[in-house]
Amino acid sequence: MRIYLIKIFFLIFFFSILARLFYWQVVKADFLQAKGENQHFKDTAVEAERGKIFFSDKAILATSNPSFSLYGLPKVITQEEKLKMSYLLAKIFVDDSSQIDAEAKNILNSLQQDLYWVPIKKGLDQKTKKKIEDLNLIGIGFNTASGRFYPEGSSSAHLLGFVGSDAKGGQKGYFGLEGFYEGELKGMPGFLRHEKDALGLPILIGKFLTNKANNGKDLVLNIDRSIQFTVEEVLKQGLEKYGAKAVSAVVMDPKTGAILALASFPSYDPIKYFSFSSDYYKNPIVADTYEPGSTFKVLVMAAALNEELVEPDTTCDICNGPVQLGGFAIRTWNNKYYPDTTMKDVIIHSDNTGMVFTGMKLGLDKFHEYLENYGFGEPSDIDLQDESSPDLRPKDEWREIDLATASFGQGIAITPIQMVRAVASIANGGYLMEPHVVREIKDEKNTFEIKPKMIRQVIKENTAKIMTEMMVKAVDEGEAKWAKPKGFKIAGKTGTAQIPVAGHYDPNKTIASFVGFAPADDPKFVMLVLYNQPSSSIFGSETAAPTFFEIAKELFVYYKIAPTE
Amino acid sequence: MALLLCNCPKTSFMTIIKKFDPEEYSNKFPKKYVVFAVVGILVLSIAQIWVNNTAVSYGEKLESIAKLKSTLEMENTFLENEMASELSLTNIATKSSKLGFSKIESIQYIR
Repeated sequence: MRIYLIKIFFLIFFFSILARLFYWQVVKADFLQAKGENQHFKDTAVEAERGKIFFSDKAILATSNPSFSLYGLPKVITQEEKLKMSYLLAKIFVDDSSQIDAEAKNILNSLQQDLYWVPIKKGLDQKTKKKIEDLNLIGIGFNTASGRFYPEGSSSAHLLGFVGSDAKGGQKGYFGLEGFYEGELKGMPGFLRHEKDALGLPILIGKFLTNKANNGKDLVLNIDRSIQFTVEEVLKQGLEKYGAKAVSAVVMDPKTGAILALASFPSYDPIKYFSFSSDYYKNPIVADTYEPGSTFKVLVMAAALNEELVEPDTTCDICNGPVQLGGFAIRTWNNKYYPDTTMKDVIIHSDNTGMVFTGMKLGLDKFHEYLENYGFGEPSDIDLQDESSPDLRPKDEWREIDLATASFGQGIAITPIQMVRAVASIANGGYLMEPHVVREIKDEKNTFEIKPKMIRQVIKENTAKIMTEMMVKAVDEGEAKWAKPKGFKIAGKTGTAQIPVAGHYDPNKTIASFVGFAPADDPKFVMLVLYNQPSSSIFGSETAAPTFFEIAKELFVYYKIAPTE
Repeated sequence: MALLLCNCPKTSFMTIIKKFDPEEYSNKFPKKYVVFAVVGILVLSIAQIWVNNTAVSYGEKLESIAKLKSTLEMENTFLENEMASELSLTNIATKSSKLGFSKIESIQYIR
């Protein structure tokens, strides 16, 4: 009987072991294997470096920069040390001696928490890290992170956008180039898995598994840093001089659509983007809409010339006084009228009644067709995030008065980039080009070149020549002639558009602008300057035009263009 | 009978029987190979122990080299960025104005 019981006991014991082994080997196999591997292997994430952004001369505009986060271990530091450490660190973090106490208090509050690990300061540079390390403090350490670095400071903020965080805490580009080319710039992170010993050190003859990180692609821009710098400097001065709410300018190569400079003020610092209102983030050149005012006249006149409905010497038979239309009286900007004025003079004097005459000659069908051909109502497809494109009103919703006012640039909304692109088509012989900020996208092996893209021919080459001459006359004999650099042939047009406020136009709030290109016979650049609500003068001829000419003067020197007249 | 009268040397009729030593034949080759095998195994074992020990200590070296590489790359990035800052137009404009350079106000063109 005893033998029998012992046999049963051993049998149960044997099956228990078998069951346990089955549990470990089959049921929990994956879990235990993973646990074993975790003890035996070390996984390291290899971050992909975000792509760099270069100016056209390969100078760095944006790159990655390692930064450091300081953390503290409150349980390791004594109370006395915490107090001493707070003041020592505060002296390093703050330049203003009056703020040291407040900063030290903040640090001390962090270190007083009943935690094992507390963050103290983020975004420290190498020099600050070295200063802290030299203090030989116990209970603090550094984590390395990667941030964005802009050698030119806050220059080109609207163009660049900024790099913030995504939902998982990783880097993500927003607005401008950082937003538009996020896919190219961010790269693909990799990882490294290797066997480790008891000390956590890699075993040389152990197993290695690597998945190489693919760094982000670099962008080489069409932006010329000298032109960008000049434009920014002149705009900053202009904003102050003319007391405007905002100023923007864009410079484009009319032959290729390459954007040479693009700037707007007020701006923000892309490193400290979080300190600025989000209203500053959008690029006014591509995201803001405005009524172009008289600068639009050159496009309408070019359309009428192209259709051979008018010629430069065609006389206006309705220009002897205000034009009455649909219960409205359309006047000239200065209430001066020129009976039998020619189309050439209509542009020189920026005559609204003359443009009503031209618009009527063109008719709604052709007018609408040309608006579409110039690219209004559709995005310009510039490679910047957040481009807006105000819709063109459907043709059947246009009244006679709408056609009349639109012919001198009121009652129609466009973006600055659409305007400069349309005027570029006059400068380059009639071709609508796609504007581009980026010239090349490069990775470690390949370079992808973005070639100029012609959308369509809008006007004939001869029409473009005639219109260019009319614009040259407008500069030489128009309201802004006093500011023009002597000897240079510049084609351009001023614009002063009242801003619609609560259903009517406010006569004291204007968008003052100037659009033009130079040298008129072989343009190197087309440029648009826009002031939003200038206070020293509401007119484009007294604000935007002098700014345009000041930038143009610098560009003539830069391009080594000598005066011809 | 003539055969019996032949004056032949006695030895020509002797049968030479070669003596074989079976023990000597079986022991000669295995002994040599066994010695070689034992020595080989010993050498390989010692080599394996040496390689393992060396490789383990190289892990530490590998780690320190990886850290050094990362530090040098970081320093290189810092230097590149510092160079970019020094070469930035903003910096050049500030320095040039401190040195007394100013914008050209009047340009004479020679034809």
